[in-house]
Amino acid sequence: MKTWLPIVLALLMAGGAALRAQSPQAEVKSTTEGILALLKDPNLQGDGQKTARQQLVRAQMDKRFAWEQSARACLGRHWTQRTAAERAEFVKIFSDYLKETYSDKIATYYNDLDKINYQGEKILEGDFASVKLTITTKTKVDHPVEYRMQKSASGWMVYDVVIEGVSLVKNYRDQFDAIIAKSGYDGLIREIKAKRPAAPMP
Amino acid sequence: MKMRSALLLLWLAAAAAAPAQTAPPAPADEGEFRDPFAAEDETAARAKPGPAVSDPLEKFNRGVYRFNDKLYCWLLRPVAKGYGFIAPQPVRESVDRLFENVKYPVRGVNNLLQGRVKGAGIETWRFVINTTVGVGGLFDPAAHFDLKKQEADFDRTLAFYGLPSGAYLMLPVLGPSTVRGAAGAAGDMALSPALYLDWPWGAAAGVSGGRMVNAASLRLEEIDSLRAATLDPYAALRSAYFQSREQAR
Repeated sequence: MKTWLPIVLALLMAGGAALRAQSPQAEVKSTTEGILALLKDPNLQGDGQKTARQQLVRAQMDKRFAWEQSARACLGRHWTQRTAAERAEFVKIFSDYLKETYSDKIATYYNDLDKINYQGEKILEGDFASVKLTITTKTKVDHPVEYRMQKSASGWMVYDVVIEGVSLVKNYRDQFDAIIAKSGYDGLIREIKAKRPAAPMP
Repeated sequence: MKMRSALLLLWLAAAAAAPAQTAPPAPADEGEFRDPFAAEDETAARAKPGPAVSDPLEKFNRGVYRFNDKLYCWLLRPVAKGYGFIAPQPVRESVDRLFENVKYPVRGVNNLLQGRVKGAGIETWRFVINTTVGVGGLFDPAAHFDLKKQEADFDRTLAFYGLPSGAYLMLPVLGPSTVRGAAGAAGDMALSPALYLDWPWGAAAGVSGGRMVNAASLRLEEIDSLRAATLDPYAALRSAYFQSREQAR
């Protein structure tokens, strides 16, 4: 019987690693709490700490957001018509654009925050999850928010955020459809490059 | 003992298989991103009665959008910014609540028209409490009695009676709407108390201009970030409008 012991232990540890992957809602919650803690941190207040604060918030978001999958979802049906090189380029420039646009913005959203109510999760096909929550502002207005996530090697990752019933991915997809219809795929790439708020972050 | 070993083996096999089963498949980047939730949204939208909103008037709408955009950039934004600099945020929030309180007839009547008697009752209580205790509506003490604003407008009433929304329509100044929404806005205006006061139209225009500036001053950041985060702001606004419309349809 003793010979079993190491094997059992090894398998228990392997099983434990799988179990440690948290539920989608727990993942959203821990990332949110991590970001809130950063924004409240007394050592990170003021304009002097802005860069440090933004970098830390960005690192938290990178752990939970599947930027590449979001970029791909935003391109929608046009994805299939692009070559491998074009896809790689698109994922790079648009996921950079998303990161730049949203990781700075998140701080302003949280400034107005009163409380967050988590309303449970729903799992589809084993690999997709939706986590719903209500964000109440200091002026007592409720905003329904939904995170759509996909399971990956690094846990549950957010690929779309639905705020007040408006999906970020669908919103970009509709914009891309309009731009591609008017000025083609090259026009879209030009627009994204022109819109990039700053030089690419490291 | 044999039984126990067999069970143990079974359990081990299950434990070993479990992580393999839940491991994600290698990302296939050939096809379009498969999003079961988006697919659900589309199925739900198709199951709803009535046609979805469409934009056959895009050319005209884009023109109105450009006009509104210029109006915002050249007039509304600078004025609202200056005003926001002078008047502190709590004051502007109070002014916003005051204007909302005055719109009680719109919400009250349309709640009734849509058969929401309880909603109309809540609105009436809100109006009574906020007009008296809340100093004409500058404050919202009714919210502390769990009396939350019951949004209702004439557009929703027309929808309630089965009128289709018609084409997407960008209204000057008012922004995204539909043909039915334009009729609804006219109906709401008919319920505006300002219309029934005996004052020169210049004063009425001034008040509604003031209301817009005040509302804009509270949303500058929102509007600016929308403009910054979009590549085709017209398409983005239309997409957001259609999506929230589908929810309410």
